[in-house]
Amino acid sequence: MDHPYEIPLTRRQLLIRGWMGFSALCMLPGPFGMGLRRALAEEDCGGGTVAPSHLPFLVFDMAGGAALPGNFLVGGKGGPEDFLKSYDLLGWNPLAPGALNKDFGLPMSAQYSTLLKGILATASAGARANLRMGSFCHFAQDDVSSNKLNAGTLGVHAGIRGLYISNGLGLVRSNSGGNSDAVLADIALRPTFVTSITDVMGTTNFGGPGLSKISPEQLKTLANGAVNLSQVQKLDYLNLPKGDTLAALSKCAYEKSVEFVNGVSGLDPRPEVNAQAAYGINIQTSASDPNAVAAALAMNTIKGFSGPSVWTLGDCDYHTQSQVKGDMRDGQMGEQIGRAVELAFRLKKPLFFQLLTDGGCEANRGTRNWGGDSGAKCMTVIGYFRPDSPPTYYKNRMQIGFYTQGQGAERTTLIGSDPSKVASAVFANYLAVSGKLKDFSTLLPNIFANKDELDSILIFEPKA
Amino acid sequence: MKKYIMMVLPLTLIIPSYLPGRTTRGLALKNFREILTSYEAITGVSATDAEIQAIYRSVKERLPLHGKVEELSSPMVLASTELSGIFCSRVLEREVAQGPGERVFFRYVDFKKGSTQFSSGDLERVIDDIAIGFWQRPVTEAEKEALLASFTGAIGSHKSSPGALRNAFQVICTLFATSLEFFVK
Repeated sequence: MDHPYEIPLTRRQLLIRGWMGFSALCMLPGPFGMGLRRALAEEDCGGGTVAPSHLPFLVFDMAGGAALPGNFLVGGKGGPEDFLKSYDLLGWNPLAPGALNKDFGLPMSAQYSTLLKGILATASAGARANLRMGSFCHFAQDDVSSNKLNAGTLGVHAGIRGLYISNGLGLVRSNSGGNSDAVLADIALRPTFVTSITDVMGTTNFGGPGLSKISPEQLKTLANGAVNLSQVQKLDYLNLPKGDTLAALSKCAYEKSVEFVNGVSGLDPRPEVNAQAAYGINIQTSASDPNAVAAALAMNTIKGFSGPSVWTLGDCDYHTQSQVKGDMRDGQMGEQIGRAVELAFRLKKPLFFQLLTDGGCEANRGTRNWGGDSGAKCMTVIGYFRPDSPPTYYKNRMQIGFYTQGQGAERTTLIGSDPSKVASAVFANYLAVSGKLKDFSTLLPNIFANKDELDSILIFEPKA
Repeated sequence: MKKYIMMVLPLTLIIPSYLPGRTTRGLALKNFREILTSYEAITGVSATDAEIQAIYRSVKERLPLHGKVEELSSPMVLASTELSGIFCSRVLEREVAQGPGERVFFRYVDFKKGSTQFSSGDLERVIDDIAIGFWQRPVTEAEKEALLASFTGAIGSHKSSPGALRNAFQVICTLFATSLEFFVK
C-alpha cells in the first residue's frame, strides 16, 4: 500500500497517507446506499452463459408532456368507465357511441387515438390478444427531466441484469436512460447510452483496431491480466472514501470484459428474423436507423441480453394549437409499443412495459387541438404481455388514482402527487407479476406504509 | 519550548483537514476528456490522429461523463481498452523506429530480438518506465507479479519471436492504460 519512493502530491496520495479527513459516506443509509450495497453484496454482474429468466422490462418515454389521457380513458374513483361529466379538455368524448376500444383492457379512444392505431398497425392479432394495460392517474411537472417517473433502473437495482449488457440500454445520457428521471440517483444503475447498433455492439467489443494484430490468446491474457491487476490495486483504495464502492464495481467491470474476448453474437437485430419481421428491418438497414436502434433495445431486453431498456421519443411537447403533431408523435409511440409486443410474441417471451411522459397537454375546449401544457393531465400506463394467455386484472382494477370533474388527476391519492411513488408502484406491479412482490419492501423500504397500501396500487394479478 | 512545539505540531497536521474548504468527497475517476488528454500526454501520441479521433468518437459515450466512481463499468473498461489500444499501438510503432536513447517506455528493449533478451531486472526496468508514465510511480511487488505474469502469458511459447515481444508489450501498455491506478484520481 505504501509507496516509499513518492512524495504525496495528489489528493488521493494525501488521503492514503491520512493527511486529510475522511467522510462517512459509506455509513449513510438511504435507498441509494442500501440498493448499491445490496447489489454489491450479491456481486451481481449479470453474465453467465444462459440468458436470465426474469421478465423483460421496457420503458417508453414520451419527452415533453404528451396527451396520454387523449389516448387512454381516465375516469373517476370507480375506474376508467366511471365517466367524468366532460372530457372537453382531454381531446375526445368517450361517451360517444363506439368511442371505446377495449382490446387491451384499459379503454382507448377508438376514433382518435393514433397511439392505438400504431399498436394495431404493428402488432399482430396474436400479439394483441395477450396484451393488457392499466394506468396511474397523477400529476407531474411539464417539460422537465426531473420527474422521477422512470422505473427501469429499479429493475437493475433489484438484480434484473442482462447476460451481456448488465444494465439496460437508453437513448438519453441520463440516470434513467430516458428523459424523465430515475427514482434512484445512482450512476451505477444507469443504462448504457447508445445512439446506434454500433454502440450496442461496442458495449461487448473487446479489443478494437489498435489491438487487431494481437492474437486471441493474447487478448485473453490482456483481459485476465486486467482482472488480476485490478484485484491487486483495489486493495489500495478500500480504506478511502468510496473505496469500497470502487472495489466492488471493479469486480464486475473487469471480470465481465473477459467474457467478451471471443466476441458476442446476437446483439444485432438486423439479421434476426423475428426482429426483421417486427421492425421492418434487414441486414442492409443502417446501423443508425432509428427503427433498427429501437429493435436493438427491444430485442436485447426481451432476450435477456440487456437489463431494462428505455426508448425515448422526443418532441412530444406538441401543444401547437392543432392535433397534427400530437397525432404523429402518438402514432410513432404506438408503433414502437406494438413492435416490441410483436417481437415478444414472435420470440414467445413475456414483456412488461411502462409508458410515461413529463406532464401532459390540455386541449382547446371541445377540440383535439392541443393548446397548452398541463401537468395535472398526466398519467402513466403499464402494459403486460404474456405469450400463453392474456394477463388478468387484480380485483378488476385497471386504474390507480383518478381524475376529478375538473379533468385533472386527483393529487391527494397515494400516487397522485409524487412521480417517484408512481414509479415505485409500477415497479411493484412488475414484481407482482414476476412472483416477487414480497421483495418490494426490502428493495424499496418506506415507500408504502403497509401491505394494504401496497395492495392498493396493484393492477395485474400477482403471480403465485 | 521543544516540548510545546512537539505537542502543537501534530495539531497543525490534523486540524487543517477539518477546516472549511477542505473537501472529503472521496475517490473519483478521470472523465472522458481527461482520459483522452492523459493518454495523449503520457504516450506523446497526438489525439488529433484521424484513427484515434474516430475511435474516441465511437467510445466516448461509454467513458465516464462526470468522473464519479459509480461510473466504473464493463462498457467503460471495454471503451478504454479500445482507445488505449490504439494509443499503445502508436507508441510501439514510434519507439520501434527510434533508437533506445530517443524512447520513453522501451529504452531497454531490442525489438529485433525476442523476450529471451531480458534478464528479470531488465524487464522490470521497462515496466517501471511505463509505470512512471501512466501511474507517476514505480510498480509495487504485487503489481509487478501480476504484470510479469501477463507478459509471460502473452509471450507464450514464442520466446524468440520479436513479433510476440511487440504484442506482449502492447498487452502490457494497455494493461497500464486500463488499470484502476490510471483511472482513479
